[in-house]
Amino acid sequence: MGAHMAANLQKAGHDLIVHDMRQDAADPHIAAGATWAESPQAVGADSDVVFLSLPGPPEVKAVALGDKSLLSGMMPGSACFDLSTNSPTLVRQLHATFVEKGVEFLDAPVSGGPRGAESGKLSLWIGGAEDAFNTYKPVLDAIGDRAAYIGAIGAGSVAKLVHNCGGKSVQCALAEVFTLGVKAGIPPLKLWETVRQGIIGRENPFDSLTRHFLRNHYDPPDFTLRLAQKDVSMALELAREVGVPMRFASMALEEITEAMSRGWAERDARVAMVLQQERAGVHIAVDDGRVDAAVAKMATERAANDN
Amino acid sequence: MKVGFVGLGMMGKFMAANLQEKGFDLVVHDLNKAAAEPHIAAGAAWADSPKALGEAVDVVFSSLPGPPEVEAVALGENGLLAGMSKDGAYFDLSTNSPTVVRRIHAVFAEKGVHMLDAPVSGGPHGAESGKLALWIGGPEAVYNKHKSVLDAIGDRANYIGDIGAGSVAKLVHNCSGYAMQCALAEVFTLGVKAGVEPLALWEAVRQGAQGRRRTYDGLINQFLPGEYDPADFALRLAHKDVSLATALGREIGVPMRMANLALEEMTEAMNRGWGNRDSRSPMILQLERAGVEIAVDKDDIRAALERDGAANDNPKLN
Repeated sequence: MGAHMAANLQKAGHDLIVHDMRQDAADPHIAAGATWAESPQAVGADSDVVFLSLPGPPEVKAVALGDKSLLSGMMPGSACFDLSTNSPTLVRQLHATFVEKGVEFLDAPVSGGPRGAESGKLSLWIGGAEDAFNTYKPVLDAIGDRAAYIGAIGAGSVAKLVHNCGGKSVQCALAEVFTLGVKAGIPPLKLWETVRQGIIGRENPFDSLTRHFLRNHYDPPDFTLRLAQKDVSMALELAREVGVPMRFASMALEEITEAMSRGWAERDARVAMVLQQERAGVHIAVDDGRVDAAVAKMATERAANDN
Repeated sequence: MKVGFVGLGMMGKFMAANLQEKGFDLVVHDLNKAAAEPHIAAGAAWADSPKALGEAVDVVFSSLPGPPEVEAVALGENGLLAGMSKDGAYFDLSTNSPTVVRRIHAVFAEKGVHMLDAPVSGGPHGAESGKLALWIGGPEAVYNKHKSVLDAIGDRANYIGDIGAGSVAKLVHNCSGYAMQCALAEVFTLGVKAGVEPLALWEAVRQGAQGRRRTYDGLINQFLPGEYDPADFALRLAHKDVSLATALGREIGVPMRMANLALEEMTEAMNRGWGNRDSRSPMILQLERAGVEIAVDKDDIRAALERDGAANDNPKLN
């Protein structure tokens, strides 16, 4: 990821100072005019703003605070953006330590994969001081086309973990239902083409949240919980019949059944999502006008992007 | 062509109305006669029973809550089968059990009547606008013969396979939706309890890799071709991400049943020595458990993407 993001900064005309555990990784950047620094400390001493793209918390901690650390080199008034996928707790600790020395620390994890890092079609989710975000926005824009301020320090990392963790649970659930469909006799590609034209396949996984979950509106129903229970029950019956274990779908049916027991049968099927909010001690109810505006904004940006 | 329609509820009323608008001569029946009034006002004939309806038309559609209602309408006393004549066709638009539709199909076939499963996807909005997928299982010749009627109901009527295949596809689709819903409720409660405003969180993830693509498009590069090397994103790194997310859940008190289960899958895959394979490789574990192999030719995937035509939406195949 870092190779592509650093290259895009150079292409945008920024004067680059680079460091990596393996110096040969820096060769293409040096060939393109970047300066090599022997340590994170040396990078910090010569830069107004520093970006980190590292595997995870231990590596970020070592670079930020370890031997010849970044912090020991950085000047008051400068800023560090951590592009790694990191722990919100660690970035908050680092933020506190950096701020003591007058250096801004922001978390700025990215989403879009190596292809997105290369093409610049990349989201950056920034948590920390909003002033620093605004100051360095042109530099962030050189890395990715969607740099967005999310909230206080750690908020970018929280959004990233929500995104990636949600994706992995969804992946497990999709593996289950596809093995069911294939074992029940539909060729895999035919099944994929088919479900892709359904209401779920026509949109991304997050858009359906705007209809009920974010607004906390489950009445009147688009599709009742009672009918959802019937559908998932039939899928699990089929799975038992053809011999496909369904861990995630079984858990989903338990949620729906619990929601039915609350007397929610005639409410929208998404009402089962209220149970998790109760368990977590969280209440989500975003004002309709704000949700509508966000949906409209997303549609406009998408149309602009397609053209 | 005379068309019969049984079940004028949330979905059925729109689909029946679209058939009428397209000029089909409609005969309707519902348990609740009042539900038929708008259709009768628009020129439809009323039938007192499924049997009477079956006697009056060439092709029948039913849109009913589930298996018991479909069985009663199809096979019950004064049911469709008692009225329909040889070579007639009956399409069940309900979300039904593949086992039940296969049984009904067999009973109808004995009398020379064709029964096909044709569940729909698109919700009431799609039923109203006609932006609706119909997934048909049964004899392909009967599907082809009635394609123009199916096209009056939805813009994406597709033949899936033998009787029951449409229902299997529908159950796969809907079941994935409910499992995903639980998974997303978990991660959103995590994000909100960790201090991010819900709408800001939604706007952020909506711009991420998952949010920028259609739900099933994440399957095209690894799961469908059965190729997990080289890694697009290494399992080792994904394992770290989900570990961090579930650790955060424990720290702030958010129970995460599905994410922890996903982490167990990933840990098991790591123990297979797959740390540097793509992070989708844990999906192989489910293939093993189900006794299913998936390895689609990439040229076929490419052709499927081209068939879809919506080039702007389409993901890139590696």
